[in-house]
Amino acid sequence: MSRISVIIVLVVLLTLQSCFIPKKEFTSNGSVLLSPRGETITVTTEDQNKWKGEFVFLDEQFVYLFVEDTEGTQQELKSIPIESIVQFSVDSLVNRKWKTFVFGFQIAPAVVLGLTYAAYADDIGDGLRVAGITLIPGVLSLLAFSLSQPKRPELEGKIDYAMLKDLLKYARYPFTLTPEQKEKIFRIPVKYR
Amino acid sequence: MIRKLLFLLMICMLAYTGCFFPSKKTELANITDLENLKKITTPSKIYLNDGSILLFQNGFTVKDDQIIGTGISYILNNQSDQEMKTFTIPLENVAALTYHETQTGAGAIGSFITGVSSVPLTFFALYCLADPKACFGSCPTVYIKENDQYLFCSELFSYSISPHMEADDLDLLAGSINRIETPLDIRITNEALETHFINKMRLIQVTHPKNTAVYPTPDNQLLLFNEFHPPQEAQNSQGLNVLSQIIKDDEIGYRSPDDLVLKLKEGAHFDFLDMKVKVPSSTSNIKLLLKIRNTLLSTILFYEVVLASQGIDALSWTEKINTDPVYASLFKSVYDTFSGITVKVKKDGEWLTVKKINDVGPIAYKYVAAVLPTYNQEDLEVRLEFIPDNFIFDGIFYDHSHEEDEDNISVETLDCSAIFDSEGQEREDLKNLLIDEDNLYLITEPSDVYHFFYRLRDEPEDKVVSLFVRSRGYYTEWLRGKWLTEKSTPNYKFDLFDFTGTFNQLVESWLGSKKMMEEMFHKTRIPIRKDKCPEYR
Repeated sequence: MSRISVIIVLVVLLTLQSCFIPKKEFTSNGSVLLSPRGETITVTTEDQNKWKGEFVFLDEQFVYLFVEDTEGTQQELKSIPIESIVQFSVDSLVNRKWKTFVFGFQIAPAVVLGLTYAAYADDIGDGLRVAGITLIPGVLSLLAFSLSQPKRPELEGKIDYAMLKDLLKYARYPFTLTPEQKEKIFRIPVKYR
Repeated sequence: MIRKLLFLLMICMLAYTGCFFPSKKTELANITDLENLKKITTPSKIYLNDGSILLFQNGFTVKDDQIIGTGISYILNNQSDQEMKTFTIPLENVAALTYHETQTGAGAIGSFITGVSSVPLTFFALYCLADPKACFGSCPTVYIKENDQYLFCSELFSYSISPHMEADDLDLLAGSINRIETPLDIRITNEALETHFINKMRLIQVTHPKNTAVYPTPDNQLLLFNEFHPPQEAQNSQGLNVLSQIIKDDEIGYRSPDDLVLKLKEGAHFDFLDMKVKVPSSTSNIKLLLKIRNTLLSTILFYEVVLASQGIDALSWTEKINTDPVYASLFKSVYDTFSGITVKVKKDGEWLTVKKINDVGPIAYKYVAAVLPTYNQEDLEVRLEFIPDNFIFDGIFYDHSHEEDEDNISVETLDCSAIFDSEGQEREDLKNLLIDEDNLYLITEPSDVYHFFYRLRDEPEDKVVSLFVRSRGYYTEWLRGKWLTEKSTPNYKFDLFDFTGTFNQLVESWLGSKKMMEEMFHKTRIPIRKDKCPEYR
């Protein structure tokens, strides 16, 4: 491998490392980057329809969320009757991006090293040993991340307003809105949603 | 090179360890609990009764039942002027307030492990995938077993391509070692599409003083080195200073730039390295040491220009070079003219040829030593002349000490104790084949493996041992189907006496494919047979 190839590989690896922190959600020093928006939620209704979008607000009858249309170009404010909801989860709090990096930069390279060595030495046993040793950091990372990862806020089964109210803090408007305020929200121009 | 790579890796690892995979934690605050003069430093969102939202990235202060903070405001329809302002908000106007914290927990340990291991793992996975030979150890042809690992040591008779070009070779296997496992296991493999004819192969044990080194010469003698001095100046044929490239044994060496290769299109042309060497007075000879390897230029010449350019006629050419001694010697003399390194010394303003160093092969760097006359000059000028880009010079050193080699080194030729094939069978019948230069050959085909065991002599406490293999033989290249079915060079067919045409085609082929060839050469190998060599005591 030439020096230039080595430098290119290292530059690519360094470039990829910028994906570690989602820059839209965190500042460079790691604190949460505030946004006026609510968290992303997934709502499943009893007819097995699934809605994913921004949690906007909540009242005693409905959960309101901005969902994108199928083309992803328009957003509409969707109101889902609480009594029809069988599953509710807040998706954007827990960072699962470590999985891409652990599998992509630790597990996969270890497997590639093992396979390459197996092919080179013409010995699958030696290849397995190389893969086994080089997999150790990946497995340790996997354990550390899995065990330390916070639980995703989630409700399942028969869900009522009281249960959802505990999750209202993740909405764009985490308080009881007046009918006039609701009316204004319904009329938010698309470009400001 | 290795130090630079490690340095880059360290930087990458440190960069990675500074990163982590945070999750978010949101808490709804009880506004009535906010104490006077309380300063909140976590990012907070303030929701006002009128539906507008204030984002205080650096927190806020509570003073006299008011929240004071700097941030951006969004009105209910989510519009904002994006202007950073200081707001003073009475608590009674606040509908809700949320704090937003970062959660990492034990994920920091995972981040650290990922940071430390991911870059090297990914880097080495890509590197090893691209060049398994460089990663897991180089391949042909001679290996020494040490600590249960076979370490690549050397390749034998790289350019002896026909019986009429059979040649002697002396290669360093292991230099200045204190102790080595005995019996010594030397593995010989055939990992190319070639048939190897090994006429003679003897292990040479050289015992010499500590802090010295022994290297082979082009005429297969041994030279003892006490000192390693770099030249004082070194420049190439374009007058460029190349001293820094050749005075460190770091595998970053000098190779000719492409514009010098292009000059070959006009006919035979040589690049050279001119060096100035300071010699103590009354020194009649100095010892020159080169750490060199061939590029794939000669390989391209043989595969692409000589063989592939002939198409189906490559078959009759191969027969001719193997059976016609006159043609073979003509080919050899032409090849010798343009291959290798001509060593010249300047005397009275004239360059005198004092030594010829043959090609050493492209697989690994080799050390080659030579004695040069000084003609009683204290400021000696030495020139190394070669076809452009045929060699990479990694190290050039000289020794002007006066110790007589014969007084300091003892040389013993060792007999082979046992030979095993890849099936683990002891092959007593092969021993006689390799003792002398005769009509008996050990013939190996692609993927063959043989193990040779030697018992080394004990060396005195104040001495160290260097091991060499003295060999003689030749090889024949297997003709690839593609060479025979299609001509790789539509406007050229190899003609031994058409130097200009040959150089022209060589330049075209070399500059067009050297990068690809250099990458492919290290990737392609013939896997050796499953090796069942037993433990031999």
